[in-house]
Amino acid sequence: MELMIRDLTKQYKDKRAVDGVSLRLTEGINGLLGANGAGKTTLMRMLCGILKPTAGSISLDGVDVTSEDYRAVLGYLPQDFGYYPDFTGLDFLLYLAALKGLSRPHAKRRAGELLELVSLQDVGKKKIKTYSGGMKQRLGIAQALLNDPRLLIVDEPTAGLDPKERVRFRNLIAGLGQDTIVLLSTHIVSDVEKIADHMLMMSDGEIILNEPWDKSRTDLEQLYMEEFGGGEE
Amino acid sequence: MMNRKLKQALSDAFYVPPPARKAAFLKQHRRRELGRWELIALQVRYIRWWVWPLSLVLSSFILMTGTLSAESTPWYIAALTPFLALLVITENGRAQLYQMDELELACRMSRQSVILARMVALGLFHLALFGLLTPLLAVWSTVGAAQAGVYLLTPYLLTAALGMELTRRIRGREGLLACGAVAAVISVSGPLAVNIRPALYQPENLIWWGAALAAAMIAAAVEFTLNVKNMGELQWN
Repeated sequence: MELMIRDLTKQYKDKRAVDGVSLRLTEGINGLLGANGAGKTTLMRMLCGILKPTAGSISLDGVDVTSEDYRAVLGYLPQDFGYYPDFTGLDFLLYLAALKGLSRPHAKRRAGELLELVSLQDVGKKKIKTYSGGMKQRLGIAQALLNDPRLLIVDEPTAGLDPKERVRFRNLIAGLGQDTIVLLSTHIVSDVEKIADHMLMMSDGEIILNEPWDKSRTDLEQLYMEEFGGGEE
Repeated sequence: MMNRKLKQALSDAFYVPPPARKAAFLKQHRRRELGRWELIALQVRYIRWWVWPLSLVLSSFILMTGTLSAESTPWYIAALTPFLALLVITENGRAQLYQMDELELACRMSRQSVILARMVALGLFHLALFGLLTPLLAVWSTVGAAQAGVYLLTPYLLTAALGMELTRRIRGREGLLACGAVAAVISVSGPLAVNIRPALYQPENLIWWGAALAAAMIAAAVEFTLNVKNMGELQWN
């Protein structure tokens, strides 16, 4: 299984947010590091087919990003997402399961499994507006997993989480990379340092580092500092 | 008892390997195809429940007010239909309002088909209501069937067209508020216009109403097409 990205470019009026990115990603956790404004979110949105590239192509095992077949195997957790105000956690999952084309019985079973996986089974029938930030993020990852994705894209999943929730979330993501291409974008080094199999760094719309990552390495922060001149938040 | 012993003996004698890459296999075989009508039926479930009874209540008001006063019947009929169109427009813009659009866009079913399904469901419901109202108004009020039909449809389609144009240009809550304002303006423009031009609702002006209806139909169709095209991509800056 491979995600092929060729010469991907996104040009806004006076800014090139993503500039000729070419990548080949395979199963495992692919960390995408970059400072705010580096173009990570734009790249991820194009990989999800929700932003049209100015140039270039994206395909998963030859299936084009614009096709229903591509979206059928895609799981996406955006940086910010909302919910309809009357939704409970379970309603939210069942609604998105319907949009992902899961049958009602399958959706119910899968939603139950996922609420348990993200430790929300006790609050599944409570309104989302009563959830903490960490609980909402965990619900977000649950919805991304509804369709057993082969390509999972998570954009800054730990933003706004406290350190304990961040570790919990990281452990959850770490378990997902076996049969799935996971692309995890962050500007926080510790989010990916110990779980990524492959490391990417992005700056000014370009990929400046693209290499397999040895989880025992401890110099990622130093590398990041050299490239961006900033550190972990 | 024997069965259990036999099962145990068999499992002891023959080793069953654990399934290899079961999850990966299942991932490739969990597709389900949805037909057009099945998709519409599915989406009906996710239209806000009160949209249906509110549409019925507004239609009942149109019928009641339309048959109450002979003199002002025509503009009573035309004054409430913009609010029915407003229900469709707000349903259309709900995902954006609550920041669900990014999640919905990344789902297997294209957002266009989902919104189309909802619009078709609500649009058919409103058309059915108009189909019921038109002969009832023709019998119980002072206007003929053709008049009732154009007075119902023209403000409805005009509000829908302008509302779609506004929500395409103005994002989120502001866009929906602007649509509400447009619906209110179209609603009160009927009685105001009668003061300026008393013959507006007379049968001899039906041809002008027909022309206005045709224009509103074209505008609504154009706006609908533009909206559907726009929905394929996230609108964010």
